Amino acid sequence: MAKSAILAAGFVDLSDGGIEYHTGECLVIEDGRMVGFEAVGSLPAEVTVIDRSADYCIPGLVDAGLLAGLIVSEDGKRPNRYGESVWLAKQAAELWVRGGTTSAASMGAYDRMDLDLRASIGEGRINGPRVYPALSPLVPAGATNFHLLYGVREVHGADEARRAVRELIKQGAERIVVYADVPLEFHPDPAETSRHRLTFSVDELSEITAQAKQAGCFVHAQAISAAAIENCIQAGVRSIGCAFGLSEAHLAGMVAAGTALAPNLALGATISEMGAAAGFSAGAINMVSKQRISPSLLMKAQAAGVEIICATNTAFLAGDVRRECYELHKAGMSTSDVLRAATQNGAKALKPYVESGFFRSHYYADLLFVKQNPIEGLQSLSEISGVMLEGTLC
Amino acid sequence: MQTLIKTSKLIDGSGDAARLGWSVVVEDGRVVEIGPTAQFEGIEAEVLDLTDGVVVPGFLDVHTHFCYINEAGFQQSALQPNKVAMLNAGLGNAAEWLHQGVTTTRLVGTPFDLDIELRHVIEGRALSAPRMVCAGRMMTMVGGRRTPWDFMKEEVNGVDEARRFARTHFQRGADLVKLYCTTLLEANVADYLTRVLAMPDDAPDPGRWSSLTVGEIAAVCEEAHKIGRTVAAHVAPTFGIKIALRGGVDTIEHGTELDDECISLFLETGATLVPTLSVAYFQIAHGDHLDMPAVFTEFSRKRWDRQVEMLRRAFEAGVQIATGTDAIIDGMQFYDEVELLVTAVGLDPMSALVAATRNGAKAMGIAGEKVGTIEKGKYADLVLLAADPLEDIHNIRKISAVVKSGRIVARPPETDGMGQKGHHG
Repeated sequence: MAKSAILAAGFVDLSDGGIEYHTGECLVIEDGRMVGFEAVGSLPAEVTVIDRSADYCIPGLVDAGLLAGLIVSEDGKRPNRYGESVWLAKQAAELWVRGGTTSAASMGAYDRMDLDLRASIGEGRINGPRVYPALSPLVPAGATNFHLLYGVREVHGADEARRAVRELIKQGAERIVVYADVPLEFHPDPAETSRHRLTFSVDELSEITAQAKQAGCFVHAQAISAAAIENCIQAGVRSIGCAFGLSEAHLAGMVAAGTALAPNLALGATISEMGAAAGFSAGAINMVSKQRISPSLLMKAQAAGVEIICATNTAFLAGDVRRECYELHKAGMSTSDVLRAATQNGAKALKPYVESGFFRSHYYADLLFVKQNPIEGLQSLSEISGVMLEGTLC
Repeated sequence: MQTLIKTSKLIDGSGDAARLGWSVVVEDGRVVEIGPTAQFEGIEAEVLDLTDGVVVPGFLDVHTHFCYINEAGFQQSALQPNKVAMLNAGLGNAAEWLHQGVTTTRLVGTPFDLDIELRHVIEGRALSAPRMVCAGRMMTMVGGRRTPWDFMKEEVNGVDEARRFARTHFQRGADLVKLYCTTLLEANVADYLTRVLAMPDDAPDPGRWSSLTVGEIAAVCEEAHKIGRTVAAHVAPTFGIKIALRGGVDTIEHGTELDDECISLFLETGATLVPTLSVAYFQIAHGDHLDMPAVFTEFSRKRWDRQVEMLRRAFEAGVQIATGTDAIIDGMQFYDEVELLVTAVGLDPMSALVAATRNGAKAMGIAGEKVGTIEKGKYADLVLLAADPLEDIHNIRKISAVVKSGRIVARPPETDGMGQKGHHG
């Protein structure tokens, strides 16, 4: 593929903890990947210039955990058949990429649908972001009442955990997702729901992370109770979502283990709005909408050095990762920190070999063009003027 | 609210002469009255004016594979094919076929029963598509799956297993059973065809074949017919056609190697022949540009004259013929199948239209009861053509509007005689 160069009003580079604007430079891309910045005047004649000089450019957004296999339509209809799931995922994928998401980490899907979705997008059959498939999420044995039954796989003991990860990797999983604890039932009192849960042991989680690591994959855990969060940290999972039971006592351990936090703040808001129509139980709605990480704890986590990542963890056609960005900002994070969470932090949590989220040579040319400088206000994300995935405008 | 569809020339698909100045009254998507327009003066109804051309029934393509993706790498996926991609292709092909005037399709073989899933999505979301009669996966004999990645078929052995397959399959939501009656047990088909081409025309077939038994087929037919369902049989060689007809199938798909005894059996059983001429024709016309060994094209070319000659004899003897494209190659179109019945086989345009409408419906059991002709009680599925297909069958390409259940669902753009893009596989 021939080289091309993108001209923008400014490339907002958030690497190294600072904010750097590349102006008067073009971002050169080749074969879908970034080459580097070059002064406009020094570009060779054969390079095609893509003029986005009216736009600011940031790396494409990373949704570090979404329910690719269980999309609920805007009218609240939950898919009840495989074909319906595929149709909804197809609509959702288009919306995600239009909303600026260029990398989407799946939380799992029925019948390897996320893997097939990734291939379909990669082959140009469907428009959407690059999907990182998880296939079947792992849950503790006995979690048969778990309300999000979308292909979960029950695992008991280290041996089964090892086998499960080996099989998932062989089938094409690029990340492993575990529900570290699942409710025995959704009690009307959210606190009770958080207490009575089946929980993976440290041994089981450690086996999962060890096997995943060998295969070059990270483990993302959804963990609700304090005990489950503790087990995940001890086992060295790469990221934890929901984390309703998170406390200050966990933070040092997360930093030491390199475990990132996906607060999933948008999840509560979305479930509150649409959960009932979608048939979620009152207990589930109650728990998700009332128990979420407080703004003060979130800010303490960030101050302690815990990496914050953006993950929607939602199953709704209406939402994308921008909503999580707005919620994080509302909770007190600065625009630049939110954008870091939604780009580089998320990208680093996808897989050990980072390939997006930064303006860096050899990284995918996944780019987002907005009308206003996003550092000055996240509302700029609602005015997306273009999305580029691997060097191609979507 | 009723709809009054006015026409100037109406061909109802029964084979009767065209009606001039007739109208159709539609309620809840069905035809409730049909007759001279003057008869309906003063009727309180929304008017749909289709007088600018000739109205024919919506077409039936009774042999399609919407979810098929014709890419070698895709088909030979080491693990399993991409079901998301197949469903996505199905959505595209369904919309495309509707634009070609096809308002009812019969999908005769789809891996993992994805056609049933596709229909569920299309009906649930009211997407633009033809009605779908679905066969799901096919049934074949043990050994009939030609490759490890042949996910389209399920193997059975014996009458009991065949009966179980049928019962289970209808429970899964299939409208019919598609039998893969005969399988060529040759690892290298190109090599086999080369050997055939090198032999005299009257030499015995050098291939190793396996087939379902008459008993296995009859068991499936019995289960299907008990509940108004039908059985379609994929079969090419002469011996296979006879086995399938003796087993009681409703349609023979392809039936390439007809002989006079086959024709007699068709007449005896009342089965319908779906010759799927357009596959061979497409290979012959475009083989040089297709990614397949040249011997396939050469074989089709050599067999073509005999195939159409036997088809003509079958038609003249009274065998019912229905249109099915088997459109699995990009660029294939429904129109070709109808046109070939006239231009290659020698049917008159009215008979070709009947093949493309009524005959397919008749062969589909209860799934075809409400389609195929424009008559009281049936769905108001119509196609408005800008020019008369009885004068020139190629005029079926000149579609001005496609009506399904009394509502315009597609107005294809002006075509250059080549129609739209074709299969999305």
